[in-house]
Amino acid sequence: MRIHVYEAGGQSAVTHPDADGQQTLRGFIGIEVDERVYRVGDEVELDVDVTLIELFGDAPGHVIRHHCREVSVTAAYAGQERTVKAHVTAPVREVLDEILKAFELQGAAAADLVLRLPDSSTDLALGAPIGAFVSKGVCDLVVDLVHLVRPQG
Amino acid sequence: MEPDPAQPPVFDPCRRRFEDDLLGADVAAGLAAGLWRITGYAWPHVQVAFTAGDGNEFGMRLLVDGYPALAPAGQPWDLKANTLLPVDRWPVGGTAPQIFRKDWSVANSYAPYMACDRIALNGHPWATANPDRAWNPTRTLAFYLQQVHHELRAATIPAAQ
Repeated sequence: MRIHVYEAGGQSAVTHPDADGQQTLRGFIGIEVDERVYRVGDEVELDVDVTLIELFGDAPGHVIRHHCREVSVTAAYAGQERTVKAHVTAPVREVLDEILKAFELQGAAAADLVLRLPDSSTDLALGAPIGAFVSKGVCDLVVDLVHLVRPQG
Repeated sequence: MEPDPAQPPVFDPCRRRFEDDLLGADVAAGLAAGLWRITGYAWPHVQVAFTAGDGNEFGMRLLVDGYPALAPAGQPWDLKANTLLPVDRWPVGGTAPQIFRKDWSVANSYAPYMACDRIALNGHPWATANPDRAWNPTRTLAFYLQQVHHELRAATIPAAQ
């Protein structure tokens, strides 16, 4: 079975296309001390002693292993900063929405905005869990809220 | 949507690479987050339903031959009727009209005016002028999907008449 695993600082998932469904999640992932495992998009901690097939059935598994439950995300925009809290499994899309609310940006003003790590030219993937962008050992994240440059001409 | 296991083994490297990416984590993450759904796939076309800002879905069909050397070539698509989507049902609001242009797109194979799309990229200097938005062979299907989804975040989808 196919299992996608995110972890702190990994930014993108590692895909295991042929995982043995009879393995426990603990045996499959090799969880470190203080780490917890969650299904992406779900705040309930997974029982790591249950087999992969019991957890995910026939569907691909999508999990994140992380040392934090919640992260603090500070966004910089137009010389100001706002901080929001998010569960590590929350998709970037949800965090972006919360940050836009915190800056009181909506409608056309918000439509062009994306999140990026400082000094990066790559947008954070909206479907990825925010915890994947948090470095190991910390539970906070600094991002830039930037205007998308749309090619014209 | 998984590739059809009844189909013969894949030896076309473009198709194999595409199917790996179709099943990849980034596409699955967007699916889990409700950003898009893969509604149909038969090489070299894949059909996608994007969730727009109003919660309605907007369909596209992507031609992916030559992947990833060639960018996907997208068209607004009526997923039920399996045909091109009429212009009066293209997304409105937000930045969508700058992408699904009733002037330029209609005259250019119904392509979105985006640096990640094959048709629009051809003939524009965007690969060098806007590299962070442009397709290149290191991109994956998820990049294209994310670019389109972003342009639909504040859009509404006109209902079928």
